[in-house]
Amino acid sequence: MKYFFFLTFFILNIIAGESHAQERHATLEIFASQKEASAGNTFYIAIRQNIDDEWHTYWQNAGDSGEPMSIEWITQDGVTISDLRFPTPKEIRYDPLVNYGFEGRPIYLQTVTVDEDFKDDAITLQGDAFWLICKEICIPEMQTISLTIPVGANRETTNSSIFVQAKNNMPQEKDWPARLEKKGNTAFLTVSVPEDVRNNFQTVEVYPYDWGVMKTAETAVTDIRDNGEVVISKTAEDRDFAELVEPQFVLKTEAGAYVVKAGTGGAADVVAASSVPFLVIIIFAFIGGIILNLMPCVFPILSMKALSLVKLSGQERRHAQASGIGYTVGIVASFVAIALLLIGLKAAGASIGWGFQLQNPYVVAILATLLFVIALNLAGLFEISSRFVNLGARFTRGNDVKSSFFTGVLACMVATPCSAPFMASAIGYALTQTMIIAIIVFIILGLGLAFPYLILCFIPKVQKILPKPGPWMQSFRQFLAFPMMASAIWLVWVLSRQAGDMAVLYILALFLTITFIIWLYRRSVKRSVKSIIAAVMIAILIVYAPLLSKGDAPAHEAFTQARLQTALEENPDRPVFVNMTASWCITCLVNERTTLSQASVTQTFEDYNVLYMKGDWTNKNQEITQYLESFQRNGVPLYVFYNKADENGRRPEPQILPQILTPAQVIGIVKGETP
Amino acid sequence: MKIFLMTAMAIILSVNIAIAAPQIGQPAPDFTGTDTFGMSHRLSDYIGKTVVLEWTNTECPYVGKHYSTGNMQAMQKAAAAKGIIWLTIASSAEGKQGYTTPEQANEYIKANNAQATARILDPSGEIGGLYEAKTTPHMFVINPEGLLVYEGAIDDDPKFKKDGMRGARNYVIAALRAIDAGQPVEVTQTQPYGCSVKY
Repeated sequence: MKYFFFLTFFILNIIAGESHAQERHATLEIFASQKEASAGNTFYIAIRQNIDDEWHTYWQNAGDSGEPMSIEWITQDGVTISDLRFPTPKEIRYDPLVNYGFEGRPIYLQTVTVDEDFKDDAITLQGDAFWLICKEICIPEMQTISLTIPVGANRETTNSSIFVQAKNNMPQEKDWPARLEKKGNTAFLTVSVPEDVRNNFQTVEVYPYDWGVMKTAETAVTDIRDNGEVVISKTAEDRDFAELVEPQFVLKTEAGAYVVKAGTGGAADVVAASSVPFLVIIIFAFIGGIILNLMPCVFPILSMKALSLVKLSGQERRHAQASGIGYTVGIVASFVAIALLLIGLKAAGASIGWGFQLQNPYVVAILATLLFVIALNLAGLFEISSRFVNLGARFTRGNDVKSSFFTGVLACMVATPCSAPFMASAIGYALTQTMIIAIIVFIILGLGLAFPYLILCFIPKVQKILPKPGPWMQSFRQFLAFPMMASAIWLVWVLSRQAGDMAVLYILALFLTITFIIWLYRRSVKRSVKSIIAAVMIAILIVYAPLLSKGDAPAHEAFTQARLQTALEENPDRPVFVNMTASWCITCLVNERTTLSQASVTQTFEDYNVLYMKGDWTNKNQEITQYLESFQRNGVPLYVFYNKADENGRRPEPQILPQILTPAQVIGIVKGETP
Repeated sequence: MKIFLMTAMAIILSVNIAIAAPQIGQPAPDFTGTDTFGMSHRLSDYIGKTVVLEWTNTECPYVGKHYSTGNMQAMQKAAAAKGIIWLTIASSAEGKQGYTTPEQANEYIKANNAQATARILDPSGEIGGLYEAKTTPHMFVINPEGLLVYEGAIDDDPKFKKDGMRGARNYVIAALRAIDAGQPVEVTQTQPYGCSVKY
């Protein structure tokens, strides 16, 4: 009785809720694949859910929350309706939670089978559909749908465009051998994909049909191996995989979406699979670190450290070794600190990649000032006391380890604006890995950076290569001020793009003030007078520091996900070229000068009616970060070309261009000559 | 150098804390929360008692399903009779659905005759993050030793519709009975259902 009361109350509540819901956020339409049907016949019905903008419904595994659509059919005797088939889902992020579902107009499919002994005049399908629809808030909605198909011999198909579209959006079922394993807290899905398919994709999004298999919020890492296996790894949920019966997954790739069924066993193979690319990455990281030494911002520091060795007598070699170790520890510690900062920010939900530090104008200003001051020092305006940083002018005994440590920290700081080519891919990889692996990659980078100096310190034979000390050293040191100054100029320009002309005025005034204060301190004026003047000037600078924050956004042809989507869908005959760039990305700018602004390339774009979209990642931009991530990238440049649609109205998978462009290559891809 | 190392350690520790998800059979993460009457509740003060955590959102239809039918209140009342601590936690951020002031929450409690020991307001999402609470309702059961013994859905009827409560298998009640009888909890983890927590 009590239950009856509650039940009535509950039903009344639903009805009341229904009548209050003046505004529905999704409506269903139902279509049959045939004009008529008869006994013994099987046909399809398609249910299209027309979802309001910004709202979403759920896939059969809804992810962290939500409820998929269900339909309760009231069927006639002799008519059976299969389970609801869902189209390929997409990730819908509400940080920190991620759902799997649909936006726009998903089409669901069901199969209707009419028994051999069916006798009625018409097939009437009626069902109560129920779904949850969300946009921050969630609303349950329901709708009764019905469809009547006359019984007859006319099996002519109808609504073919709906069914073609539905089929295209359904993941294709494949019997590719697959297995699922858990190693530590990582889930590995290994799939043997036939070569013709495998060659057509680079990245895989994975959607498990079961709950509790993979952490929704993590990004999957795809490893396409030479032996034909595709290994997809993602942080595992703590559910016991042994509970799973034939776990199924949707693999969404550039080539299409596929359903695979996995067994669960045999873990040994997977370890080797993941360790191979890891080794390669470690080597890349090390080479990247070494190359970093040649960058204009780091090279002077290494040179000064090397010069200090020239002056050493045989007995002081021990100090050289200690200094080498101090320098290495300083660099590695700084890299680990950067790694922890990155990981911490990522864990806190920030959407960042390498280069993030240059997205903040204050950091850019500090780095520019640092480079400028080092340049002044190298030029000989002043000497830094060796308490903290020894740029090699002197080699004091007591402090050499400590000063070398801070020189290492300094080297790392000035290195941050210049990332070497190999470094970017190593860092990109590191950020998608577990914390331990990420830190290892950063440590190796640091070791690479420290390596040349370490060799100099430890191998006397190498030291002999260094030229004899002499007056040339002073000239060389002064010369090194120029690359430093050049780096500072570049950062000032980055700042001008980032925060506008007032920021440039500010940073130049800052340079002037600092130079003046340094000059002042070297005059024989009373100490108190010096301090007062310096304090006043610094106070004024601090008051005006907000000039560094962003002014008006610089004008550029803007990328937005929505605009790209519209361009891709509504204008299938128009190719799209996406250029993800940033003012602080030297490679990007070089590419724009040498390739993208070349007459031959612009002419080709014009001839082929290419839509050229540019995403500016100079400042933080969530949408661009996500776009980069969708191509497994963590930094710019990224160039993607979407060719026009083929006869079937489907665009081929987007092509990713290399990070260093040539006009011939871009023209080739646009003309369709390059594979 | 010392300061640097200490800072690095602090960062490592804080990252670890952020990553550590609550695990079945492990000590439940400790927290201190403030209820709608301004009283503070620390989980570790309830060692020796069974504790139920219920994530809620007053406007979520799935929470509504359990409150409008009286199902949740009945469970809370039965738990109270057994000396079980029942903490309802609202992690909706200010401005998001389900955020309430203490006064609004008390009105809701009164109107719905909710029987929980306390309703903790967690608009910063700190406790929600600690437990990785995903949905409303998302339920956690902690035994008198302070170990997490159940995490997931309230029952096996994840649909909003239907008069499911009668036939549904209630995992929370099953876990509480097992603790009471000194038996191991049979189903320790299920997929929570409902609306997402509005962090």
